[in-house]
Amino acid sequence: MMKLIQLTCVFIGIFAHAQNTENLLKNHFNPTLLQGFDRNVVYSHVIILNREFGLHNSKIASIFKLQDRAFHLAYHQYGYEHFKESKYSISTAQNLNSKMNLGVNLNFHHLGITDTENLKALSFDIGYSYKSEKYEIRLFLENPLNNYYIESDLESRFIISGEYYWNSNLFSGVQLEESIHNGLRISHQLGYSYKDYLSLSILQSLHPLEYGFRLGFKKERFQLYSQYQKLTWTNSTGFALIYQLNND
Amino acid sequence: MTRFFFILLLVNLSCIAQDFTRQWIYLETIEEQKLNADIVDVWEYYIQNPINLNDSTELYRIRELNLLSEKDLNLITSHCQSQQLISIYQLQTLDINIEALKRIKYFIYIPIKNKPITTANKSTVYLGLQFQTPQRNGTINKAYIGSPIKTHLRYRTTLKKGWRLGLNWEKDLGEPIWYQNDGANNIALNLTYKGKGKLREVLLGKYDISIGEGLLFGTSYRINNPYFLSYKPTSIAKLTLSSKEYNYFEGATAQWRIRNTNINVFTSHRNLNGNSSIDKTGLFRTKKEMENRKTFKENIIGVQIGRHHKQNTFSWAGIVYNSELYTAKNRFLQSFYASKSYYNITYSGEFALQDLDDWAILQKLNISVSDNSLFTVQFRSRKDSVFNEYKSDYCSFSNGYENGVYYAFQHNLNEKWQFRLAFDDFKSNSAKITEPHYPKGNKILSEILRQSEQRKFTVQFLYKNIENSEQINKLRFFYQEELSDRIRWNTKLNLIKEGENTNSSLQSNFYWNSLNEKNKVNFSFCLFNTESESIYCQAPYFYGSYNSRFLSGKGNTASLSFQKKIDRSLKAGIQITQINYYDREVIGTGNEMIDSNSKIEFSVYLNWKY
Repeated sequence: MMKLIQLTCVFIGIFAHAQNTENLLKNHFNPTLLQGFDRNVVYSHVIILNREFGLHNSKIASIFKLQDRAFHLAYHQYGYEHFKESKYSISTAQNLNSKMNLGVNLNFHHLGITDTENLKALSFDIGYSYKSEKYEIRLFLENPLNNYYIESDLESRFIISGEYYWNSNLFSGVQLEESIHNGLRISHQLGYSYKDYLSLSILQSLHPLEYGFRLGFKKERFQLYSQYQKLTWTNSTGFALIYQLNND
Repeated sequence: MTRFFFILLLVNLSCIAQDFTRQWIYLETIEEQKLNADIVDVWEYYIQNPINLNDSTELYRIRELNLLSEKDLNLITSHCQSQQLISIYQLQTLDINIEALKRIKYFIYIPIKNKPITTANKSTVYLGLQFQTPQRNGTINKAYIGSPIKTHLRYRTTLKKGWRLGLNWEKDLGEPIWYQNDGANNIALNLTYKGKGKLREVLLGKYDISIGEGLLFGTSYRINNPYFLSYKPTSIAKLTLSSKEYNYFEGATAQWRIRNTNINVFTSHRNLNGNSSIDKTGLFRTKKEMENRKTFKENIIGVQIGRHHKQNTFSWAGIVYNSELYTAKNRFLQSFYASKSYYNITYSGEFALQDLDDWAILQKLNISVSDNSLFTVQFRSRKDSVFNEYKSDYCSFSNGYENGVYYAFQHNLNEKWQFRLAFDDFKSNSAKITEPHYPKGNKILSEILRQSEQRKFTVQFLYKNIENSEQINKLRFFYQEELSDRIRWNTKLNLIKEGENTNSSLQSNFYWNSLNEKNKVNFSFCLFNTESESIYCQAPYFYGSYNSRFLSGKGNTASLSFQKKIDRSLKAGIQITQINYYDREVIGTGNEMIDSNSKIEFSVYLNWKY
């Protein structure tokens, strides 16, 4: 009986592992994440960085399948009334074998600053992932060829992240991020879910020193997240809504 | 010449072209910055001259491979000294990781009894080319005398009756192969003889000298892992075919062995490069740079007498050194070295004397507790006027200062986990004009290492504090995982904090091996962002081309290489490396300037073993 329970837990764990929707809320979208979603998904998140100026970071996106291939369409916006940086992305991924995936994002960037000429640029990102039974490693190359509006003004990052699933309820994540604009960032996350409807994540960055937490609630196909982060330059609050569609 | 190559083509293809990936990857986890052509030269030497485990006078040379931990070295040495082995596979009975034995497998042997010694012909030819685009200003403006292609030729062969021949010829980008009226560019030719009688070795050509702890001479390759400094002297003179253009000697050496006593005689005559000081760049591409080529004569003649008996070693060396750069006067240098082991305690020390006036000393005590713990304490001191031109590795400790105390502790927590901690306190003897007149400081180094068959994990932290200078904190993280039988992945994180400045890099390498192990593909990507200190970046192992570089500024570098074993004796490879800078419009200055913020380098090689 005990073994059956353990087996069920492992199965649930793997299933939960495959469907870790919290990864959609990261500060980058690794296209290999697409391989973990069996259902079509629509999601959106808004992070308020400064209420006085209305500085925000928001995204609306959808994951869907077309001829058995998963795609991700997203619109991302950062800025405030007089400065708006927008990004339209389309992503897809390919299985290399049962454990490895390779994906690509194609991005169209648009920068609008009041009283100045609008700027446009194209870029691409590459993602790679390796998935084992209990852990997952991901690599993400953002804008590796340094495309830009005028000169080196589009972010370029190299991100290595990993998640380890201790059991069906508990996971930890580590992210190493080297950015051309902001330098090195080392962060980790500890997430716990209770009975598959309530989740809590502790977010901490060691370099620079930042911290925060995220609370999630799941009701049928809806997931709602709310988060608070103490960043070096501001305090941010945010929320996210994820809806998994019925594929039928 | 055509006939020569035709004969070579027809020679029996019996040897597998050697690949040092396994060894390279091991060193990558330990001391990445020491990975260069010199260590491959050492490995190539021992492939052709494997170490006889049953010969106690050769046995200690395993250390030169730099492929074993201190514990493994001690285990193998004591096992081989206690009994005559029949096969190298007997080492598997020792408590040593099988991976470690695989690393040294090709460098050791046991002679088969009653079998006459045959000198099987073994030869290797290596040809490498390297070029980059866009071209440098020196090439475009025709300031460089030579072609914009770097070429490298290496040839080793075994002749009859214990004689071996080696040739290394390299020219850098922009240099000519042959300088008009000034000879060949960076050529090394070696002829060596190895005997079984009293005359053990004769060497003609380019060689290294390592005497004692290296207070006076220590030019041969060695890795002193700063996280646990432990060096034991091995051979005195050893031939080198590396392309180094400064740290070596040229002439003849001979070694006699009479019972337990070794007598080494060596002499060197060469012309050093430079103007008012020695030019160590080895780059002579323009007429102006050529003015610094071979400008000072340097002569050395010396003798070393060493006796090794049971656990005791004593040696004395007397050297007459003369260099036009310093003084017309001959310098008489002497080195006294002694080492004694008593159970788990080993003491060693070297005292060096210059013209009976100036001196230098290094004393070391190593204590091991069971097989799992090791403690070392070292004291070093020298007068600043003591000859230090061929400074040995120990000088890079103590910040290069004259006085220092180094103590370190290493403990194996279990089969997988290891912990190291080292402290280094140092002070300068040489008076500086500005305050502090005698700067002093200290360093703390720590390392946690976890190794299993599937993954390796290392975290290293260094703290350095020098009086009136910015504190430096360095963090290095290394993680390697076998993703499958054929794919290995590793990642390296470097973080250097110097005062308020942060310098960092993040790198990932992939190594793919085909099922039949004939094809290899490596991919590497590194993104760097530095403010005050450059960051070291080492691309994946690619035979003959080391692509290691210090990167500064903001940018990324990526490399892709493909290597193929065409048949059992022939191997070829191609590598493409790109560097993009985000913080500049041009790369470099003067003749080295490239009118772009990115450059691509191509490397190709052909290695033939027959």
